[in-house]
Amino acid sequence: MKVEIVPSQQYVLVKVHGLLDEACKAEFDEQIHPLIDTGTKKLLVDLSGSDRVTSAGIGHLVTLVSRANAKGGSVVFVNPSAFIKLVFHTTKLTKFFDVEETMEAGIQRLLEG
Amino acid sequence: MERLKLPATLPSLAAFRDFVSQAAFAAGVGPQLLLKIEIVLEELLVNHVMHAYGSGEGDSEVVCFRKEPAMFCVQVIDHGPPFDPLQRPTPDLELAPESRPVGGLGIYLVKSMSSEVTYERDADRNVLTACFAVTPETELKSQAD
Repeated sequence: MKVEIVPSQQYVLVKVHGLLDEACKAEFDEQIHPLIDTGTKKLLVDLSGSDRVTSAGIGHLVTLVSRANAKGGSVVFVNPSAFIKLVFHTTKLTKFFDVEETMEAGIQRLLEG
Repeated sequence: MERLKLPATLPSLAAFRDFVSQAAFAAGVGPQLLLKIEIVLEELLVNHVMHAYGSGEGDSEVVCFRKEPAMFCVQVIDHGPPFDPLQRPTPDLELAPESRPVGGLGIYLVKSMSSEVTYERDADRNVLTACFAVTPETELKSQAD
């Protein structure tokens, strides 16, 4: 997985590319979690570059959301593929994750939250 | 019955995905069911590649076949030590994600998206078979429909 981080005034955009699986732990630990740890409160995660997620990848996303929530922050996922949407739905994560179809809707949700 | 045997490595996954997608398409599987098959295959293959042979090397074999009445089945086969992943307990999905026990989510996905899934130890092989019902709602519609 590759990660691209685009800071802006009101939130940080994280674009992820490639399969979200067990092997992504280093990218989460070294690039994404430090954003939360250094005070970022609003994280927009663009999934348009990742068409697939495994159960291990789901674990990384859960850790990210939990970590952000514990520090008073929020995470919104945008542009999920049909594959990822079905996995979120089947594992009942749609009750816990904030997910929007488009970048615009995600930004609105993040800034209103 | 169609089969593909490749080294159990991550670079083999794309070839296995293409192989199963083509077999499913030929069997009349529609896009929504194909999505479920892809999710099941992803979980089975990734788990298989990461764990079937420990730190050693070996092959993965994927077999696609049709079973009456109207089922499309995918088998994932390895020659590793006996291991039945279906015995893993189902996670409680009503719990908040951070409170759920680690593990078990992948096999939950496999079980919930397949019409039936079985494990068999056949001589020195682990054979996991996931079958999917091809119904009028899940079959590929022709252009004329």
